[in-house]
Amino acid sequence: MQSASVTRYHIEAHGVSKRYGEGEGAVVALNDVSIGFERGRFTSIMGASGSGKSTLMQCMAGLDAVTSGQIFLGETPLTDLSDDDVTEIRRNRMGFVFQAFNLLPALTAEQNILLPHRLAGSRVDRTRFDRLVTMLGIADRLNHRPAELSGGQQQRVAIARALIHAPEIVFCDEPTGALDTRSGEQVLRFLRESVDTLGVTVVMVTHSATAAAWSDRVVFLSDGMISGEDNAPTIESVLSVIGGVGGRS
Amino acid sequence: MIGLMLQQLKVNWKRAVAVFLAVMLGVAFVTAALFVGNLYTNSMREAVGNQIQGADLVVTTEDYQIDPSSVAIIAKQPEVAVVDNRLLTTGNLSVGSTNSYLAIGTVPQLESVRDNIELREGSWPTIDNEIVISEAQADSGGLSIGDDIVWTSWDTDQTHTFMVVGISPNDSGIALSAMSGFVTPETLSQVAPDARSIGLLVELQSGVDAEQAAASIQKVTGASISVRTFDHFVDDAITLYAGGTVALQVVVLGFAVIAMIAAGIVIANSFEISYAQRTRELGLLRSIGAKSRQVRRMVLLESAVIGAVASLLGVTLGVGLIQVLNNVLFGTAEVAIDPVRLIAPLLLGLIVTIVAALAPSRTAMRVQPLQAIRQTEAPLVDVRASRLRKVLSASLVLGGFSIMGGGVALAFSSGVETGFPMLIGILGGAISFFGLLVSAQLLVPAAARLLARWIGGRSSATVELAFSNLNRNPRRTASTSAALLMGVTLITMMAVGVSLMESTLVDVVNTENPIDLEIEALNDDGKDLTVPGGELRRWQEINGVDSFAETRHASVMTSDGYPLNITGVNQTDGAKALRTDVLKNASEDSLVVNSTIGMEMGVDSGDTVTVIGESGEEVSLTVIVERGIGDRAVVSQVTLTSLAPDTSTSGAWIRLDDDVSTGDVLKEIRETDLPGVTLNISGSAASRAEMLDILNTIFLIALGLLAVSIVIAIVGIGNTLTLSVIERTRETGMLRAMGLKRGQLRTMLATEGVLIALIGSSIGIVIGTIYGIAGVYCVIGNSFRVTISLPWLWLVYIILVAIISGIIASIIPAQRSLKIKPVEALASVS
Repeated sequence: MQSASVTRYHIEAHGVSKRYGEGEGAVVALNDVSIGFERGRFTSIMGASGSGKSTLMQCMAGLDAVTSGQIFLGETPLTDLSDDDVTEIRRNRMGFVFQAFNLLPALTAEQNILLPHRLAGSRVDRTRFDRLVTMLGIADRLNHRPAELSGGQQQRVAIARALIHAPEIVFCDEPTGALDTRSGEQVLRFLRESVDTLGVTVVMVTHSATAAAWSDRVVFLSDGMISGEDNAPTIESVLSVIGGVGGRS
Repeated sequence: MIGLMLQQLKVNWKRAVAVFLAVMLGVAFVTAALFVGNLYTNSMREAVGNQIQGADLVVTTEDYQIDPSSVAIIAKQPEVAVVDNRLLTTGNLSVGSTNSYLAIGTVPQLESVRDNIELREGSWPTIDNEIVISEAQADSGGLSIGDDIVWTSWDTDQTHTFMVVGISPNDSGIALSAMSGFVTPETLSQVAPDARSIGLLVELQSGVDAEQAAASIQKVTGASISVRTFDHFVDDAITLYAGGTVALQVVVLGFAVIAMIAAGIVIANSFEISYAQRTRELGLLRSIGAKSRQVRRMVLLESAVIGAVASLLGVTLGVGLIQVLNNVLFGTAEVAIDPVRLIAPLLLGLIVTIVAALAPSRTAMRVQPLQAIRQTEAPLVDVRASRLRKVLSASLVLGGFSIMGGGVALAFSSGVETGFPMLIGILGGAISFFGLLVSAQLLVPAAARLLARWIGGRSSATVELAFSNLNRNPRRTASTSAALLMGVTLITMMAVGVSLMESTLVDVVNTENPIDLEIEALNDDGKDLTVPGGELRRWQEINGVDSFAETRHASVMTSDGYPLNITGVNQTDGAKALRTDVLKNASEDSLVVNSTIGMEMGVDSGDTVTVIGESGEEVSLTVIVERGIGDRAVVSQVTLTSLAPDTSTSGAWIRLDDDVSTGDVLKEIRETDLPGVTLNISGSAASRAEMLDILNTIFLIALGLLAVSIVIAIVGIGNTLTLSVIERTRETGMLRAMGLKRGQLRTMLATEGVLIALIGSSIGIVIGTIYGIAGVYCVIGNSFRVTISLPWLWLVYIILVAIISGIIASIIPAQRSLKIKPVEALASVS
């Protein structure tokens, strides 16, 4: 299953396995998973706790090493690159949104948003910055420190940070997990808009059927294997697969 | 609770490593300081005992002279087996053109004593006219085995030739070892029939108790002669120098206490961080029913256990250190270890650890049960210091500085007892220093902000992150750099103080005598010599000679009948060879004298005196009185020619390069081949070199001792960094996910370490410089005009060391930080 030279997928996993530990006590988090995510689409990964959904996303984002198999970002085999090279790809081509907003407490909102540029030493696109903070409704919060922002505001700062350097692909790990319903909806609407208007590829791990319903495609995982997918997800269709388990909004 | 605490300690021992190291180093230093006196005593014992080790009894008199009849009586006592009558005679050793003093004695007659002296080379003399000389004698005369030496007795004025057959080690002449040449008794009785007995070394019959024998022989000899066992003799000699031991011990102990204070700062800081990180764990304990008092008791108990174990190891380390030093230095006797001096540092270490844990333990006590459940991010601590702290530190610093200023002012006022300004200065210094440590929480963040503004704008993301990390918990940053601040302040104070003392005292020495080397070439009969011009000019070529001026000497008389030794020198050459400009106003008819001669002659600058030469020539000269220009009056070559037409070159003024070894130059000068000439060498070079030597030694010793507190401070910085790495695990993971490379992470931590170190040491350098200058004024301000010269090179070294320490301190934390995977930032909150 070596790479097909022309692929319709933006990012692909080829026979990826991830084991923790050795021998008898080893835990298999991913078992020979092969899957691809299309460019410019919004894909959700769902599954029960321990299904391997977060591990899959982390491996695909180059945040964690795979035990076997390969990951391709376009034509680039992430699994063959050095830590520094993968870091560079993350810094230039990927964005991340975490559940626990993960802002640096000592920096202001603006400094947090601009951090990827500072780390890469690249120039900031002020137009993009202004557009992002206006779209996200945080333009008047830029000089505040994270502790002075609400949870929803913090997550919107984190999203701005994930998008500021014009990444091709944004990975989100339970982005609405720590938010109330209204803030969560704002965040999801924004992710949707990024896909539709900025052409970004979004890969989101979530428990929530409501959240998954915002995406173009849902991939279901159980016991480290792909157990199904839904190419026209609605709250009802998703709930029917996961049986309402873990379905919170 | 104790069981629980021990179990946690066992699992989380890494958290205690820094505390452990700090306590151990501090306690080891204190222990070593307490025993350093013994080390000194051992060295004295070694020096005193070396040349007589092996004798059972030592017989001496107050004036080191025993009459032959007493020697005979003692030899006849039944307890006595062998008596070595230490005979000594004095004379001159001639090697080439130089003469030196050489006291000759008999070869030690007791086999045990002789065996104790390991000859460097050769063997003891066995036949007439063989001699063993000391290493120093051999070195200075360029002598080796097989050479003949010519020795002239002072008693008989007769000259003898000996052949060198051995070289003995140098030993201080404290005991009965005033001689540095050894011949057989037969030789000695031939060359010096009246040689003096300076003491007896007695070997007793086997089985005789030395104490009893000493007592019974003492009865026979009477009180004018003292009969002591070897041990008593050495002990008595050491008692004479006991003052030195106490002073040394006090000084070293003072530095040890400073190291212990540094350790206290590091310990308190470590506990503070450690408890902050255990909030969740402590909250858990509270939520399952532990009272807040119990929590506090637990953490205090923990500190006691760490303190006790670390102190125990520290004491062991200290004692080991002393024994190793003793073995390396003296090799023989062990340092006697008494329990009292072991318990003291042990208790000190324990108490310092617990006291340092007291304030942080209150943090631990305040943890609420709920905090176990709530998610805790790395906390941002309020930047503002309390009003009380501001007022307290400001008044301590200002008050202390005012008192210190008062001390300096006192040093300039007349009628103040020497030493009083110093006491005031020390008081003011101590108060302000305490204030500075209290105000570190204000100063350090301020300095950090200043630095951030200075380099912040143009720096990379890593540097900016490092700055923001420093400001995240200013209190922790402050207390971390406070330990370094303390060490650097004291080192700077010493460096500046010594530098100022040096420049001031060198100025004083130069003013008193501006001639480095004043050489007079004499005939063997002691008369001034006429060396053909150019013979002495060879000295100009010697490495280390900066300037050289030929001098001619004569003895003249003023018309008032005052005898003057005059030196004639060319003004240009002479001025170059002097360290002051005392010749600047001199002309061809000047008579330059030092203030002592001026006073004795009863003349002042501007007076005219008439000088009468050896053959009645008269010259009128204008007097210039200067503070110092050697012990002779100085005139121009023209004047000297008119007063003593026959005198040719008979000496020189030599100015040495700075930083050159006076001894090396002197050796080369002495080795110049000038048959029949004796050189009389005086001048300020030797005393200046000796003074600089003493000051440098003081500085280096202080530096070595203060280095311990620096090491402890580095441990503290490393600890703070390690703990904040643990605290920032999630954040580090996030940064890595967002594209922070490993190298950048390493740089970020190194920058944090360097910044902490740089801030602490910069403040330390500024304050230390103030202390150093004020201190010198307080100590010598009332006696000398202080010459300000700062040791720039040393200040640069200190900054460099700070930067390197910051980097070193970040190595282990960086290693740990690199292990954090980006995934850890994504891990869901549990």
